[in-house]
Amino acid sequence: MSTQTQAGNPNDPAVRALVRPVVKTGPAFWGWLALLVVILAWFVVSWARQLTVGHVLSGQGTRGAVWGITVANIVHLIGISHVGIAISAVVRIMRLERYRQLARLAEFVTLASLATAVLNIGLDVGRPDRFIVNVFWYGRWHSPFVWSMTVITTYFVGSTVYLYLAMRRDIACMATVFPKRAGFYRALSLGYRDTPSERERNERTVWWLAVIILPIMVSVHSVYGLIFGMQAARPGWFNPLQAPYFVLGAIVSGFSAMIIVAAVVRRLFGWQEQLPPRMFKGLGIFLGFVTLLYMYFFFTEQLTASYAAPAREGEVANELLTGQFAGLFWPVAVIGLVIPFWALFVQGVNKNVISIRLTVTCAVLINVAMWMKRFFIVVPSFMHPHLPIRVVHYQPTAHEWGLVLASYAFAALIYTALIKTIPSLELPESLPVGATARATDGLWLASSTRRLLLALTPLVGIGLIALGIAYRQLVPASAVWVTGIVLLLTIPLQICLPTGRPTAKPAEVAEGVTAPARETA
Amino acid sequence: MLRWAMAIDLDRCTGCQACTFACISENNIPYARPDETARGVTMAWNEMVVYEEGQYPNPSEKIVPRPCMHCNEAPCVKVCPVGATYKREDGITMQDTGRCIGCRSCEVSCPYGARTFNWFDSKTRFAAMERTQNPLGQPLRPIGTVEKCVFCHQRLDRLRADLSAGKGPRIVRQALGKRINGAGVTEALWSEAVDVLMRYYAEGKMSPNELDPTVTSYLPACVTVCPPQARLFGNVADPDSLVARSARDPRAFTLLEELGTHPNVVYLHKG
Amino acid sequence: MAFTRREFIQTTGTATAAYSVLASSGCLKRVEHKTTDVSTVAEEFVPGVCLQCPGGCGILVKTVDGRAVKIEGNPAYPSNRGKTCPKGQIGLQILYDPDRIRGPLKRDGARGSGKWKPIPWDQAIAEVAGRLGEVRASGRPESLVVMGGRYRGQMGDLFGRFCDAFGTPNNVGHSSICEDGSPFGHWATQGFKSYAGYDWDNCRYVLTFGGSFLEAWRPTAGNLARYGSMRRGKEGQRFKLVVVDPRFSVTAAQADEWIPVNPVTDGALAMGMAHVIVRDGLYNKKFVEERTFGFEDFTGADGKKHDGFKTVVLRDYAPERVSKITGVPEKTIVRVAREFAANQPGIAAGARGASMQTNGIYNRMAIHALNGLMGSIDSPGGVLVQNGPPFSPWPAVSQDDLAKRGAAMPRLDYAHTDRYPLAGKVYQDIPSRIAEQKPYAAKALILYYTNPMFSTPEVDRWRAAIAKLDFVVSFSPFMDETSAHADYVLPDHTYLERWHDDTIYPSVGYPVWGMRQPAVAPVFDTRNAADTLMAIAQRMGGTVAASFPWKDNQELLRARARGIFEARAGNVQAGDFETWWKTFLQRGVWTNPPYEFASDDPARWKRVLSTPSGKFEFYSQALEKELHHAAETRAAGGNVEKALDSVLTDLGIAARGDEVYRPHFEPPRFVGDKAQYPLHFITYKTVTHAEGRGANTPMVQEHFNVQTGEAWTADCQMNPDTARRLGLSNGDPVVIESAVGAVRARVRFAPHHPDVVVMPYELGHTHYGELARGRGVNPNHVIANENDRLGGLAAFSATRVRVRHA
Repeated sequence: MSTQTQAGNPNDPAVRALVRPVVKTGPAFWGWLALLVVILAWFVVSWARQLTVGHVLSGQGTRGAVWGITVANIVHLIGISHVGIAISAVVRIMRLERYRQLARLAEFVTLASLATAVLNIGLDVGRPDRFIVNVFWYGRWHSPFVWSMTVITTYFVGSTVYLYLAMRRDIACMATVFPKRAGFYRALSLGYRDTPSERERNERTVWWLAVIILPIMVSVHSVYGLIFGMQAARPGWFNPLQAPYFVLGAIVSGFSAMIIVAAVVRRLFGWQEQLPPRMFKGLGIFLGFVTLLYMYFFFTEQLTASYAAPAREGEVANELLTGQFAGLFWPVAVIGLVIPFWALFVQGVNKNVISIRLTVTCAVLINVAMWMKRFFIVVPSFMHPHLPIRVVHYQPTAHEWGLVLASYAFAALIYTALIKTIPSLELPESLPVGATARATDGLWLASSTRRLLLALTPLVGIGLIALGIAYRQLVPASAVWVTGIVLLLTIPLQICLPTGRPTAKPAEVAEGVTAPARETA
Repeated sequence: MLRWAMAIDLDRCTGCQACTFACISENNIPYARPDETARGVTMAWNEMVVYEEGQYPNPSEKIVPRPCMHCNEAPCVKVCPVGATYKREDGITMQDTGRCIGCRSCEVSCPYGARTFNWFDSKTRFAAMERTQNPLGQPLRPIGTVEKCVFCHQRLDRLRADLSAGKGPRIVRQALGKRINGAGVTEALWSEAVDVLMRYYAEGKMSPNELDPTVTSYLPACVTVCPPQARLFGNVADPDSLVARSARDPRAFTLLEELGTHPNVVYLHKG
Repeated sequence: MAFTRREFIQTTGTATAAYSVLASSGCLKRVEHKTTDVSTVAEEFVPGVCLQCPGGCGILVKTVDGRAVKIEGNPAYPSNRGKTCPKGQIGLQILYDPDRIRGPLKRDGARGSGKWKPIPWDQAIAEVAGRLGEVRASGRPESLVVMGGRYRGQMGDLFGRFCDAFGTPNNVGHSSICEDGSPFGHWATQGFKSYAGYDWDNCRYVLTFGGSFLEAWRPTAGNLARYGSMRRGKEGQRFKLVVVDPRFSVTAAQADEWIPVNPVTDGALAMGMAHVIVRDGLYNKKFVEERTFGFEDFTGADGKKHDGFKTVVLRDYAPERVSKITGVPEKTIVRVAREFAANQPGIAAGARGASMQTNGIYNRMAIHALNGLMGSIDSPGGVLVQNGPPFSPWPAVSQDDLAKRGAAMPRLDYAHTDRYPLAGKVYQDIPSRIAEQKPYAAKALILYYTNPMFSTPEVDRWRAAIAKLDFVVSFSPFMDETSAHADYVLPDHTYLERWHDDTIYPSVGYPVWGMRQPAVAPVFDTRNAADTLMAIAQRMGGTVAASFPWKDNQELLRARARGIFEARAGNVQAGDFETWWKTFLQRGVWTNPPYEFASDDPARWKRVLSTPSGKFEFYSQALEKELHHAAETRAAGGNVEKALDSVLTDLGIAARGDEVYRPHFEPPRFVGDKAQYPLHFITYKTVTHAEGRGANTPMVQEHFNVQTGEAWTADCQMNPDTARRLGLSNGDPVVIESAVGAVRARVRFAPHHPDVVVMPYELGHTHYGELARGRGVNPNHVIANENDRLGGLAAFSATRVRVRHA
């Protein structure tokens, strides 16, 4: 990498460029923060009002849309959240160097959107005061909601661990790059000393973790598909395609969101070099490809529904194609999917078209279209119940829109916080870690203890999961099995913790000479 | 074996909505204001579903009362994340509004639309008329939770309790005679007692020469009130009960059988 | 939506409290299945009689420590057999309605300004008595008008008694805007001037004209119950229901056959069926021979030849002609007539749609003639004549000369004059009479359980009328449109708080007497209207006071009940009156089943067929007598024939000669000419709300109309084709215009007869309560005040309208 030319020197402008958002804090930042805080204050107030007055403030109703735009938004956010792992894991597993610098930015997206998704669930349920506690405490394993709670927690914890281990070295480096917060970074790096073996172990763990997390990511979106797909009572939902359909949808909305975020930070922090146009083009090609796949799913779904379908299925499909939603549907399908796909395709096949603006525009269109698609999944079904119950048309209220949109301020806040504290781009490998690292820094484990831990944790973890399932009537089932899963996810951390009291002098470490013999044992 | 069930004879049913009103009155169901009704908000547990077909001069219109079906394979129970919806041993699908988190997935999963969500605080509806609350019925449900028809279990449970306490309708105590004792009322006796009451209404045994008001208090409110006695209630597991007989009637069918919910509410075709 | 400070405090409260309440919300307990505990509260039951409609069904009010908590049907009550209709269930929302009038009010500002001064009862009674005293002092007691609606039990007689003692002939009941056509039809053919009872239980075929058996027909709960037993009560015998109605009503939907008939031609259809039955010789020959008059041609006492019913129907009502009039295919007429004749016992019955028309009485005579033909008169599965309870007689009213003179005055509404020969009252004309001050000026108005400023056709006439009155008193427990224009409101108890008896609405035939007793202590500072009336009378002193010797209503009721006790018959019998009274109150009903059919008992036939001929008359001699009397009065010694002709002309009766006295199809008259107003405006009443005292109850408003799912409002309904021809699509706002007024509504498609616009009564209040106000529209703004002048009946479907997009 070009940044390695001047390697080793924390004050090299190339390095400073990489960590600009962390080390530089201008008035613009404070203005932005203030804006977010104001929006969130309003958000809290009107949410509280919803708690006292009731969900009647929304446009939803028992004889209308039982679920509304909030649920559509949850699905959308969960979808976006997948992109972090998708990119960074794939980058890592497939060694796609060109996209390496995208990985962490993407992982941040994951954390931000997952958290916001959970917040939106809080908005949607009638009793946010109960829902987390009750779902953990009384969770029923036959409820898709409990599955999603389980996988989301797993996914959240897993990707956090992954993110952490993947950037542990950079955090350690930050101690030298940004001495003002050296203490903070040293503590955060859990005594990472960058000995070759440690680095190598870290790398390997992260690689395996990536391999493990990819299927989890798939499961999260499958489960969300199942929440809809398993509802025999709902025409337009009950459909084996839902799980893969949702995963694909997640990829589409995730990548489109990623392109937008990347473009924004690129501009804000002048990362033209680190996030080159060719990268955007590459992302565009991929986005175009998955969009095409998605349209294919979309088509088969609509075809099955309208062709000799059970009465209600047909009615729901027709609501989209010709009915009360047609006015929204066709613009979304054409402007939101077909045209952007075409544009991306043209750019992809054309050697000398490389336009970030084009890619981003398409990404925006597609992302909005995907949000609308979630709306089309959730709402029309309610307009055609199996029994001829009289239903009213769903008209989201300003209150409802307000909450949904304001929740994005929350996502922005988290993203800002992450970008502000953690180097969003990878620092050059050559950058020394231990320059100022004192040997006493951080935690360490006696290897015997580690061995014991590594033997016990899986036992206890799996034990808890089994217990939660087998004795679900006696114990707070989901709470127990989730604890088990979380416990298992600490294994990578245990592996990566340094072993043995460091005796070596910093200098040695800096030169990367192997630490005491105990280690290899 | 005890499984409460209801039979609704559409040939008797007049579509008068007395059942809906009796249910509202018995179970303290709040009303939705005009603006709320316009959003599709309704709280009624029992509703009329209207099938409209044909046109002038040969229109057809079927008015079908729809309580909760208390399905054996209740989708709502399956999807409830916290077990706030559950089956009682006697087959009643219950709702624990103290535990419900208001995710409404049960409401979404119910093909019969038999569940209602507290979109507003029901207290605001009784504030002015708090005295219309029925302390013998279902207590008010908290805001943001889902509620539903519970087959007036409070009335059924009360019958069992009263009988074992030596109280309850005369006709029932006569019918069961010595079989009720301190030992308490077995499920078999309980369901027999319900059937005795059911026959009292269905077979028109009432007479002006005596009045035991308590007969009105133990069958579900909709069954008690139904003017043409289109509704029968009882233990479908007991082959001799009126309900079981109706369930065997060639006119019998259940709503949306194809969804495999196995409802405990049986309908009898018109004609 | 502004976020008030109060909300904010609640809000932050919830927010902070959220997790602290977890325990209480049951989250931290691992209780598997929490169910509400079986209530151990002890309840009591107070028998009573419902008053949501005049049907008067027996109810049980369930109370818990002095609070009414649920209403159930009284199983001991013969008409409803332990059931209630939906209206029966709304009682509590009426009893505890916060919008009820909380005590006596005196107007404190311009009339209708809504400014009131609460005053104590003594003062209210004293002042009202004083004002009424002044009316008498003026020497013109007849200038007092009493308008009464739901007179149940003794109330009708009580107010009648007050009028007699006071000296006014103007006791105006509301039955002339209710359903008086049927009583007149029965009177003309069978001699009894009241609604008929029907032996539904044994009936195999029901043919209804212009009425919805399962909606507003009374007694509702009873009829709904009978419907069930007629369908499935007897193994292998399922009755057939045929509904003749331009409107596709709930009954039409449940019926085996719906016959959409051209508006107001029911009489012709009935005659057409009579034709088929006579032509094919399907009628009950034995009955027709023994118990009818005027079937065959006959010669009168004066030697004049008269065509018999037989001759006439065969001559004038061939199916092809009838089909032209009614729009019903010949085949249908013939088939249904034959079915009806073949499936006896059967009943042909009619209601407002047939009887409250310009030709209402003749329609009902024609319909009832079918029962005459089939001999389902006082036979199992046929028409019954209701028996009343053996009350002890009223003591004579004491009248001073003033009272005698006043009571002898002609009525304000010209009832029983050559204008309205048969009428007992013409409620709907009162506003015009008051406004015109003809035949004389009315000064004072007393209102009991009626709301003329809402329920009179062409209701806007009242604006002028109310201004002409010096003094208006209302007994209404609700601030309805008329009470809002009163000077004094003396709020009555609701029917769950007062002593008030009920003689059953004609239905089961055998006598039934029910009693309303206070189920709960009065919720507000109200007072039983009967007691108030007595107090006022006693306060007025003199003969008026002397006519009301009772302490209160309960004492009166006990006095009247003695007769029943002494009859020593029926379901309640006892050695002494107190025990009898106790048992009676405990059961809430006295009754004496079964109904004794006349069969071969001449005495019973005399009661059942109380016509001049003592037979079922296909040629109504009573009607002939009345009309000749009218003619003679008008002729004043001149040519009676001429006078009769002019009388008939004024009555708008086209028929002449014998036809006038026979069941026949009298062409209807309409307001608004066909070219300008092409559609017929017809009204109906939903089962949840018939009789319309539930406008302020959420239950009714939210479940107003089961057919359309209308909530909190009422649309007008039209046949889709008709509507589309007018360029209307479902749900469009429209204006409905008649010659007398216009209303706005939404149009809703329904498979009704293409020539009609259908709209329900009950909604469109400007007063009555928070929930009632401004919901839906009141059809009476559109409906013209046209009558069946023969009986002074409001003709509710005589108004033509046009509909346009708003």
